Amino acid sequence: MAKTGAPARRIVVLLIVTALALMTMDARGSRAIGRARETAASVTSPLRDAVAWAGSPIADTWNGAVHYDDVQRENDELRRRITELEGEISRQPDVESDLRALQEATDLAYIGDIPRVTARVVADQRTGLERIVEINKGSDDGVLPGMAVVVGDGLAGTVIAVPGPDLATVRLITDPRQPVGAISVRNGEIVVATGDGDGRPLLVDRPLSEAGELAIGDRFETTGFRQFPADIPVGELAEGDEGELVMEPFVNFDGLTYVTILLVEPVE
Amino acid sequence: MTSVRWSHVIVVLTAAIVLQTGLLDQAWLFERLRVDVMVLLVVAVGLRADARTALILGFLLGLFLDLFRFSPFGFHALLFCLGAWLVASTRIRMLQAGTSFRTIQGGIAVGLVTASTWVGGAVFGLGAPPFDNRTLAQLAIIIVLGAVLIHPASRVAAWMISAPRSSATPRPQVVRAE
Repeated sequence: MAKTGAPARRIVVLLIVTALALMTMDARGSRAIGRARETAASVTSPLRDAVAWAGSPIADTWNGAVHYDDVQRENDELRRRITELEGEISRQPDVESDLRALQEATDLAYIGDIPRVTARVVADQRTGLERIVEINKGSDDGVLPGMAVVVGDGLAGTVIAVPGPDLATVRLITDPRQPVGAISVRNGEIVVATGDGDGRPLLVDRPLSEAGELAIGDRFETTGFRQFPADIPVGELAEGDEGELVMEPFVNFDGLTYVTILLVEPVE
Repeated sequence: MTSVRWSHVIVVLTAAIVLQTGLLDQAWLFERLRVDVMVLLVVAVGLRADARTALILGFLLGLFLDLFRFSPFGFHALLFCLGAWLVASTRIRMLQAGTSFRTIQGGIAVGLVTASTWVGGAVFGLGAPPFDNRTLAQLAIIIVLGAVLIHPASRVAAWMISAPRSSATPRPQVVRAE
C-alpha cells in the first residue's frame, strides 16, 4: 500500500475526491451504502450487545457518578413506574396479563385500528451530531424503514434502518433531518416542524401560507400526508429564545424505554 | 516506509467499533464528551506511520466508522484521513523531544480532530453549531483525555503497523575505529 510510490499529496486529493463522491452517493440515497451499513450493523450486533451487557455496570456507575441529578430524576420516574406496575400486577393473574397491562399503559388510543408492534429500546446513542435509538424488533415483525414510531404521548420518530430480524434503528423527531408535517387541531393551519437537536424544541416553518393564524399553545397532529399516519399528536406551539414560534414535542425523549411502531408502509 | 499488518488492522477496527458503540457511547460527560477510540487510533496512527500510510489508514478507519454512524457516508473518512496525514506530516517536520512531547502532540491532535468533527457536523447540518460557552472547557478535557490515552493507543497502532524505517531523527552513524 505504502510502497506504491505515489506522492502523498496525490493520494490526499484522490481520497478527498473519493470521500466527497461517497457523501454525494449517500445524500442521493445509494442502496449499496444502505446495504453496507445494514450488513455491518447486523454482523457486529451480537458482539456489541454482549459488550453493552457486560459493560453496563461500568457505564451505569460512571453515569451515576457524573450525572447524579439525572440519575436521581430517572430513579424517581422508575419508582413511580414500579408503583404503577405493581398495582397492575396485583390485578393480573399471570405474566401474559402483565405484559398486556404494560402495553395498555402506553395509552395509544389515538392510533385506532392501525396494526402495531411494541418494542423495547435496547441502545441509545447520544452524540454531539445525532441521537439514534435501537429497538429489539426488526424484519421478523414486519418493521420497515420509514414507518412511524410513537409512544403514549405522541410521535417519537421514524424507522431509518432494519439491520436484522430483531433490530431496527429509529431517528427521533428532534433530529434536524426529520421534518414532520403537522396540522393545527384548533384551526387546521399546516406547518412543517423540523428538529433542532436533542433536548431542543422543533423549529416551525409554514411552507403553504404565512397568512394563517398561529398562537402559542396551539396543539398539532400529523397531517396524514406521506410518511406518518394522521392524527398522531406532535407538539404544542411555544415561544422560542428569540421570540420566534417553536414547537415543544409532547414526547419526553429522556425516558424512552418502550416504543410502538405503526406497521403502515410509508408513501414514497 | 511503513508496512501495514492488515489482519491486525481488521482485528483492531472490529474491537474498536464494538468497544465504542457497545460501551463508550453509553458513558458520556457534558452532553457530547466521550472517549472516542477511533479518534485516538487516527492520531496514534499519525504518530506512528509515515504520511502516506497514515493517510490511507485514517481514511479506512473513518470509512469503517461511517458504517456505524448516521452521518453522511464518507464524512469521517474525509476528516480522519486529513487528520492522520496532518499529524504524520507534523511529526516528521518537528523534533521529537521524547515521551512528553508525544503526549502533548497527541493530546492537541485529539482535540483538533474532535473539534473538526464538531465543525464538520455543523457544516453538514447534523447538529446545532458546536461552539458555546462550554466549548473551550470541553476541548480542554478532550485534550487531557487524549494526552492520557494516546500512549496505549499508540501501542495498538504499533501493533497494526511496523515502525517507519525513515524517521525524522537521523540514525547514528557507525564510525569504525581506525
